[in-house]
Amino acid sequence: MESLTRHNYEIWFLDYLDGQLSNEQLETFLDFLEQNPDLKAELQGVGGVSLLSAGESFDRKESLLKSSEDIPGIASIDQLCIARMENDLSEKEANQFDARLSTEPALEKEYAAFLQTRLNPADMIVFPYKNELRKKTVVFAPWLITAISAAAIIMLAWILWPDTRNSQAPVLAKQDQQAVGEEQRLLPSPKGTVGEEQRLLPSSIGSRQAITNNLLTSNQHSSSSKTTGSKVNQQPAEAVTAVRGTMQMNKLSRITPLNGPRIPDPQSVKVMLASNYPAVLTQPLTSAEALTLPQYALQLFREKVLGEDRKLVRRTRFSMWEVAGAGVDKLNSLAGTKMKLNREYDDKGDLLAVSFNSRLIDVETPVRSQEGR
Amino acid sequence: MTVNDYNRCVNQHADAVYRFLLKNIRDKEKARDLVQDSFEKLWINVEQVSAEKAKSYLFTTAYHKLIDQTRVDKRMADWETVNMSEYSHSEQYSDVMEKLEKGVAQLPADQRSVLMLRDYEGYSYKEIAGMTGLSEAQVKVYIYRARVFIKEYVGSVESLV
Repeated sequence: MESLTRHNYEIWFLDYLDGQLSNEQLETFLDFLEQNPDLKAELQGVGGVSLLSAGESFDRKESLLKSSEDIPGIASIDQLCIARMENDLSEKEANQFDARLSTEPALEKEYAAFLQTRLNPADMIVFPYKNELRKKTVVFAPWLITAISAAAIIMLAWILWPDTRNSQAPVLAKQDQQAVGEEQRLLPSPKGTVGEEQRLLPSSIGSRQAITNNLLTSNQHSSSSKTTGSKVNQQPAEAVTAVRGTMQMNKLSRITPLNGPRIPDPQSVKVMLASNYPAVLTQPLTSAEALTLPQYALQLFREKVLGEDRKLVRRTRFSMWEVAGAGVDKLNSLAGTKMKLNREYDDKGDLLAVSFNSRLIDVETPVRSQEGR
Repeated sequence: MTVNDYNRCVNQHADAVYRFLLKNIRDKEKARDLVQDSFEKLWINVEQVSAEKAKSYLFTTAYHKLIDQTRVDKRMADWETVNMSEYSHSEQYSDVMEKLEKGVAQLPADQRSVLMLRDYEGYSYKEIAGMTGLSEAQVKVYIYRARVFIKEYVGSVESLV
C-alpha cells in the first residue's frame, strides 16, 4: 500500500473501517490522524453513517414473499377466489375463506364474479354424424351358420341327386335296352372312350342316330325303336352328323349297362353334370390321349372339389353324395364345425334315408324306394 | 378394445369431443372433420387403447388436431382482434352465457382448450397435463389466467352496457 498522505487517505479510511489494516499500518494511520485533526473529524462522520444503517429493517417483508403456488400477474385475492372454486384449497383454508365471505361483502362479490366464469356443458350440442363413425359388425349365431350350411347342403344334394330324387327316373323300356345293346355293339369296345366313339365310321352313324332318336322319344313310349330306326336310317349321313353334337349328351347318357345304376331322363333333370357321362369316362386315359371337355371337367372337379390326388384321380362318375360330403368337409374345416352327412341302408343294401347331423340340428329325410316309384 | 367398445365410445363421447372442438374452432365442418379424424385414429389403434382410456385418448387426439388446425388457418388471430365496441348493445348480451361464450372466444387457444377440458369434461390438472403435453403447473396457471380474463371481460362488457 502507498504511504499515507492527504491525497490518498480515503483508501486508508475505508480499509480502517473494514478492519483491513495491519498493526503497523494501524499505528501509521493513527499517527496521521493526530497530525491532521480535520481529517480525524471527517473519519468520525463516516463511522456515524455506518452505525445508523445497521439498525434499519423492512417490517413488511412478509408481504413480499412468494410461494410456489403464487401465479405472477394475478392478485392474491383473485387467486384465493379461483383456488376456492377449483377446490385447490385445503379444508381448513376453504373454511377460513367461507368465513371471510360472510364478513367481507367485497370478497363475496368478487367470488360471485369468478363463479360466473365456470363453463357449463352445452348438452344441446350433439354430433349428428355418429353413424359415420360406427363400425359395422356382422355376427352370426353358431346355430344360424349351421342351419344355413345344412340347408344349403341338403338343397344342393336334393337338386343334384339324380338316382334317388326323381320319381320319374326312367326305367329303360325293353326296346330301349335292346337299342342300347345295338349301340354298344357299334362301339369299338363296350367301355370305349369318347375319342374312340367319335371315330366311328359314317356308315354306322345311321344306326347310332336311330338309337339316339329312339332314346329321345323314350318318355313318350309311343313308337318302337325299329320304326324310328328305319326312318332315321333313310336320312343322309350329313344330316345325322349335324344333329350329333346336340344329341351327344342324351345319347351318352343312355350308354349304360343294363344292370348298372339308372340314369335320369335328361329332359326331367335340370342340372346334368359330367357324372352323367359314365361309359366314356370309366376308362383311365393315357397321357397321350387328349381329354374331352367333359373328361377335363370331371378330372378338375375331382381334383379341386373332392380333393382327390391328381395322379390317382378316378375318371369314373361321381355321385352327388360325394359332392355333398365334400361340401360338409369344407364347411367343417372353414367354420370349425362338426357336421356329418349320413346314409342309412336296409339289409338288401338299398338306401333308406339321408340324414344330416350337427351338434345343434339333426335332420333325416327318407328316400323313396324303387318299388315305390 | 373391441368393436363394441369402440362403438360405445362413439355413442358416449362423440358429442363431447364435437362440443370441445366446435367451441374452440367455431366451424361446424372443421369440427366434424376433426371429430372423424380423432375417431379414425382411435380405430386405427383400437387394439392398443383400452376402453377405460379411450375418452382421454380421444380428447388428447382432438386437442392436438385442434392446435394443428388453428395454426393452419390462423383463426385465432381474427378472434383476438374482435372490436369490443361492437358488442356494446345490451340486446347482444342479454344472457350471461352468451357473454361468457364471447369471453371464452377471446382466450388464447391454449387457455381456452384447457379451461374447456376442465369445465366441460371435469378433468384434473394432471389429466389435462397428460392430454396437452403441458406441466400441471402450466395447466393451473392457464386456468387461473383464463378465469381472471373472463371475469374481467364480462365485467368490462357489463360496464359498457
